Amino acid sequence: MRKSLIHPGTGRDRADVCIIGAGPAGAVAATRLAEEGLDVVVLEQGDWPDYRKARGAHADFEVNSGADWAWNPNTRRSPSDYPINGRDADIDVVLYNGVGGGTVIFAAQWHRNAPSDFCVRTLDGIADDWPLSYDDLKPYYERVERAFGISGLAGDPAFPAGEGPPLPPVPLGDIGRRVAAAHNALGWHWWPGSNAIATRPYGSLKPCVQRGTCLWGCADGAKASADRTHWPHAMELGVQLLTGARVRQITVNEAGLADGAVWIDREGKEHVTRASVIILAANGIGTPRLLLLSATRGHRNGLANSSGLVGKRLMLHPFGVVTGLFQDDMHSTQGPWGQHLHCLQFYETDARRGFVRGAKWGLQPTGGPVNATRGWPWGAVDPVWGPNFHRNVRARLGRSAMWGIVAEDLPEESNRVELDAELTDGDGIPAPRIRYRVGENSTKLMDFHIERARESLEAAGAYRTMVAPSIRETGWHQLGTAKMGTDPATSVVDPWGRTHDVPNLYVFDGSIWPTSSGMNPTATIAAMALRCTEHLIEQRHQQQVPA
Amino acid sequence: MTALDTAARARFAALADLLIPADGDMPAASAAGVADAGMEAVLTARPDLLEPLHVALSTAAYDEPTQALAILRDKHPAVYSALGELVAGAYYLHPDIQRRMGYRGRQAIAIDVTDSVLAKGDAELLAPVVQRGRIWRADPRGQT
Repeated sequence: MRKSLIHPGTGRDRADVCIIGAGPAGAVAATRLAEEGLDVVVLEQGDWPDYRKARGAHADFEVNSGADWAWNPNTRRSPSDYPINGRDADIDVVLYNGVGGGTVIFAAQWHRNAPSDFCVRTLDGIADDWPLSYDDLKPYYERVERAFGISGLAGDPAFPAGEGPPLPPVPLGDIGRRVAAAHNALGWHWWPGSNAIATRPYGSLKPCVQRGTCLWGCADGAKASADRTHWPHAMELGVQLLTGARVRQITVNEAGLADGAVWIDREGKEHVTRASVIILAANGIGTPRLLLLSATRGHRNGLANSSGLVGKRLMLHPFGVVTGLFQDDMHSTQGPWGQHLHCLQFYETDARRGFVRGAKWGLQPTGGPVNATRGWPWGAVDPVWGPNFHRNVRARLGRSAMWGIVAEDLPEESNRVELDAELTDGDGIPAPRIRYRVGENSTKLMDFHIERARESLEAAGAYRTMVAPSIRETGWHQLGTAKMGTDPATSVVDPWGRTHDVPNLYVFDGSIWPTSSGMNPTATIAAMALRCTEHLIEQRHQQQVPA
Repeated sequence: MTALDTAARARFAALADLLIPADGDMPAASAAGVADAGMEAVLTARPDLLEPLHVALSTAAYDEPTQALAILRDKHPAVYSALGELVAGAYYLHPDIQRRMGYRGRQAIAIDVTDSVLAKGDAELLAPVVQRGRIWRADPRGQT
């Protein structure tokens, strides 16, 4: 006999909780709620990933990684996707709509935020502090790392001491050892890579076989995407996961409480799911889009938007790449991708640099021969073609490595998600329009880090380094568009993800981040989802719900 | 099928051979079937490359291949890039090329647990990092 969250005897016409989005935040929340015996319905506009279509083991993988795994929804154009108008953006948003969400195509680099990421206003005088600290989140980090099956090594001096991930790290590889030794000589930080990649059998995960195909659907069953680590278990616990369910509106009753989600199935038929509590876990683009779509007479500027901040403060983490060429064979055509190791030497603010905050670096392999011919990451000014073609390819193939640089992005209200006046998805629902410009601080920050990354690779023995040309498709991390805070005038949700305006409507995804950190965000998204979920469970008897 | 006529296919082969000429034991693109089965295989998988191919071939129709390629590179970089993708993709699909390169695609390489961070001297590599001590900044609001 199931307990109802608030209303014993409500019956099956209304779920305790409706979660919108089956990415990592939704997965963590649904699993934990179901463990408590709550009745959970999840609405996901996409499908389960079909790994039979993943092409990592195919001979033509490099030229044909598969349309299903394209990162940009405007390229992928599957029935699961909605278009995104990025004409006024310096960076294209890339995301995955389906069970597992962004974890299906993420690079699996897994990082907690640093303690300073929670207090940049106090430390650096910029942006806002989070209404919680690293210590508040630490136990949740440890639990989600066990749940996802993270590999890495405890003891990283870039973080407070504590429990490390459950699995040993991926191999450093030849290139990792070379860079590690160089950083030791420079006196710079490095640490074995932390990844959502299994290195041993772990739950539903198989050990990684280092094909380097993480970004295009891991058919080897090693990447800890939420479709593998959470959703099967959540469904065993009784969670009802509906795919092909595109939500177009959250409805609000006369008492100002959310009372349902209106969604459209693949045949175009409209449905309504009623629930006592609604949780948005639709990512930093989908969540503000839905809040804006849910405008009503009482919420003319969008639901939960009395602050006017829904959709604003979008942060996308500008991404840079520096590649080095080595005389020796580094066996770097494949490997965890993912990262062999990471560097946080320049993560914290140093006022002498002329900018605030910093970036995280991840060391990666560079791929096979087709990849060796591309403008990215080798630099468009360095054409590979012509009389020296074979020599150029051989110089790159397996004899190179690259640093991927994730730059902290500062929140600016001018960077935002809006509803497009003309563009719609396949169901006629207005598409999001992105307005985003890389800020001055981010530009200075990236320039500095690129030069340091060059020095790193040169110290490791690279006889040549190249800076990848900027490409648009790097907006992996969508953060900040429904800011968390204690003041309803300057934030959308409270420290537990509850919207200030609608007391039974919650946001658990990366939208709620007050600042972006310079880390890959999934660890913190998952940990925050768990923390917020458990607070909801603890407070359920005080939870306001529709009559 | 791409339905390229013989003349168009020859133009493509000429452009491909400029991009990937023979060198030592490596054959030129056309000798590796890039303008034949290789092109067909890539275009079947990547139909998005067909349109830039037609643009490239129409550009090359009235110019000598070296000049046509320079025009594409300088005036139509996206088309030039797509042409390179098609040519390289087809070239490295050829089994003989893969054999000569010693590259067989993304292979399954099991993680050797003895290749862990505690093996091969990695513990010694880590020691200086640990000895340098913490680099994180504490939260002045308390804790940690």
